[in-house]
Amino acid sequence: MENLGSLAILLAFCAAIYAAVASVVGKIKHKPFLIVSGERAVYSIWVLVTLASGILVYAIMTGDFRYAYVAEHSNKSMPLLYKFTAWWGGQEGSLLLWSWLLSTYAAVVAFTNRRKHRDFMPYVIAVLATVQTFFLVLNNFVANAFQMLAQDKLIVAVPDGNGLSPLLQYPAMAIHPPMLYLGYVGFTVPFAFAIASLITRQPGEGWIHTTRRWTLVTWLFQSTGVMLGMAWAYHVLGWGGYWGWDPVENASVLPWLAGTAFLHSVMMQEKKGMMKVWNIVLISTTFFLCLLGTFLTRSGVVQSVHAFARSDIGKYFVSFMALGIAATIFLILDRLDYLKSESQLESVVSRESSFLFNNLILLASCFAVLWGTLFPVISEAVTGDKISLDADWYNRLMVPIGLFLIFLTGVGPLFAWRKTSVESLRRNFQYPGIASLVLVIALIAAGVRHFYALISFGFCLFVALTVLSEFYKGGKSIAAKNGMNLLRAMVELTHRNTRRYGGYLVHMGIVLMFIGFTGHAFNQNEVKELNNGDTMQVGHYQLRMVNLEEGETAVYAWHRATMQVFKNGQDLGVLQPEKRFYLASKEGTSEVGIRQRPNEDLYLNFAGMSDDNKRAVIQAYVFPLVSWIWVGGLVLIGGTFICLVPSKVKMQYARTEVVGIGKKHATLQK
Amino acid sequence: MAQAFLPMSGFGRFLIVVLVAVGAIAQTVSEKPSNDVRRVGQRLQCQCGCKDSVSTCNMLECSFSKPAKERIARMQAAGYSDGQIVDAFIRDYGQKIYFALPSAFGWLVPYAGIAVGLLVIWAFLKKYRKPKVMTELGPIEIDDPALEKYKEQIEEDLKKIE
Repeated sequence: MENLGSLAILLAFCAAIYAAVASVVGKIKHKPFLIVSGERAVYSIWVLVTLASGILVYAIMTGDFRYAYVAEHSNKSMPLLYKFTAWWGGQEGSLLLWSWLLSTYAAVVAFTNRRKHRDFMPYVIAVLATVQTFFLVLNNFVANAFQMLAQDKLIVAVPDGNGLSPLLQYPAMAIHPPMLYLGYVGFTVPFAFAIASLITRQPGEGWIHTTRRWTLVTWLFQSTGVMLGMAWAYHVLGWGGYWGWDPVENASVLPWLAGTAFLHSVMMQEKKGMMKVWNIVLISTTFFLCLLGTFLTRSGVVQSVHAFARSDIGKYFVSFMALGIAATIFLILDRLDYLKSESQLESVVSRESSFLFNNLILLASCFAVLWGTLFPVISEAVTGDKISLDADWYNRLMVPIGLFLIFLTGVGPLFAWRKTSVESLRRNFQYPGIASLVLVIALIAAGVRHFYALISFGFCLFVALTVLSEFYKGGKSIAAKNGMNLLRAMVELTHRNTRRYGGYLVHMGIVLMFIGFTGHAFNQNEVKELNNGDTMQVGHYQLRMVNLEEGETAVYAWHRATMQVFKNGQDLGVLQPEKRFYLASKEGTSEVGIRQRPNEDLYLNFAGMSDDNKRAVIQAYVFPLVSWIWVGGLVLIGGTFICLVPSKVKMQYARTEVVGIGKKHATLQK
Repeated sequence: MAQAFLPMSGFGRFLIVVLVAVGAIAQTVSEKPSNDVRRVGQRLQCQCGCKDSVSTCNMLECSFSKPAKERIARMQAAGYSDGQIVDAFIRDYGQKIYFALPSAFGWLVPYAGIAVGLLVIWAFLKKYRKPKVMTELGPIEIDDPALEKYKEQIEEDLKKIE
């Protein structure tokens, strides 16, 4: 079996090289046979990588501890779900997952476009196959998941494996890595179309129309992956946070930011035929940031708490990225004449301008996070000094940027395309603006003094009202025309233009998340060593320890505290924070006790036992509004799903005609 | 994962909020150590293997950062300055423990990036903003005799059409 696995990925590697070469040669030499064989090679890659992945998963599930990977990342006592997740629990397996996802995407692309885009599909296949080749190089020659344990030249098995890190044995964490990978890998598809479009000198938006859904789906996966990571950090790590600006966390958010900028920027190209170069730059940036993310996660080049992922794999990524970036820059510069803008801006005060600023802020965020991630490495290389950038550093930088971003989220959609009149601005901004001002004044009167929190709440209300008014105005109009009730009319409105109103819902999700982030300004916490009957106070909660137990299962030893919770004298029930120590991996984890409410969470963490081993160290936190982050995340996901639903009414954009050199070559391409 | 508060006004503690598009604002472990301990701890690299600072090491019951924080607190209580405390750690663990302060360069570059972005937008707007329509500019003055010839030709053609 193990030989079959190794053989499968080796054959897949050969097939990937063949697919890339055959597609390009077939196109250049006008040999349809070669082009078709290149596409079929893509299907064969999928079959081979699926076979290899299946063998690895089977080995994990059946506990075949002759495999070094299985012995290192699973054990007999792990539940079946987590045995399956061990596929991506270690470096070799996760890189195999990368390859499998990419081969799946490539096969779907080849199949769904088998009768479309015949002029540039060979190059799409070539780009996908090239990226696939790189990952198969890693799978075969650098991080092979089919290495066997051997002693005296004989394959041997260990009695039991080390097991998956207990921190990773959590439902959200079971799907967090594949979600992120679905996002990382998925951006390869629009990138491949963009590059193919450049190579074939396509002047129009063909690649954007074709990949719009791909990009949205990919962005959805990426968003979900980031959200799950935050939820996991909050519920499992026990440090009471959901984001710590760790380099690996940053790596997941970098392509998300660039991808978000791209999703906005393509509207300019679709509607006005502008920003063609910029869109190619953005999707290329997003793709390379995905590679960078994998590189940062896997190389250990930057300080990270994700210590499980360190290796010398970085040099392969650096080489591939350097070649890829150089080739992309060359192509863009060489094809500049084909990417000329088709129209002009009529006014600075317009939707077009708001997209420019939106892109600036998203890219500024992306650059700031990237800079913060790499600055310690750059600084040490240049000056020899090690430095540490903690969350304070990021927050000072990102809070103002984030506030400006939420402001633009509200303002941007209210600007009209082409030109916005002063009257229109007044009409759209007046009531949301006044309401926000009233809220800020009311909060100040109520004693809130945090400057950024006040601004954030004001902007959140502003954006929420602008979004709601868009639904209300549109819904009211349809209701009056068709005699529907308002709610039904708003559903109809959304169905008529899912892209626009789904987008508004995504914005609403972002607003809700910002409300949750803003709540952090009012966090409270307390730490105390407690014994049975002892009490502590955090915020307006009184906590009494009613029981302190300890025990041991076959898998882990545990300490558990039962805490009676009171608020203003009223009994709210019990929370049971627990500390576990896994015997196989010798790692500790926290099972936090959380009382979740819309206004605030009470969060209890069993940090450990006191030095004399008689009392429990309990960390108690009150996190105002934190639940809105998760609610906002769900709204964001729901809004993205709506964007993916075809609109009832097909939107036709009035477009300017393709002129000049672009027109000439457009004709030639036909 | 790291600390997340942002020093704000004289009212108080720190603040923080928001984030980037995804929303991410850093949160943190609650502050068991005081701000003074945290300030000094940020200059020292934890030696537990996490490569984080003493202040930001997240390992529960870390064998290095926990006693290090206690030692910092004791030395502060005894009146030692930040520099003296850091020097004491360097004496014990070598230069490798020292984290330098991020230079102003680290701060400037992201803002310089935003400034460059604004310049790009300005250049974009300048290049692609539609010029005002000719009627708003009044009648066209033509000084070039070569162009004058064409103008006469056009007028003659127009007359024929009429």
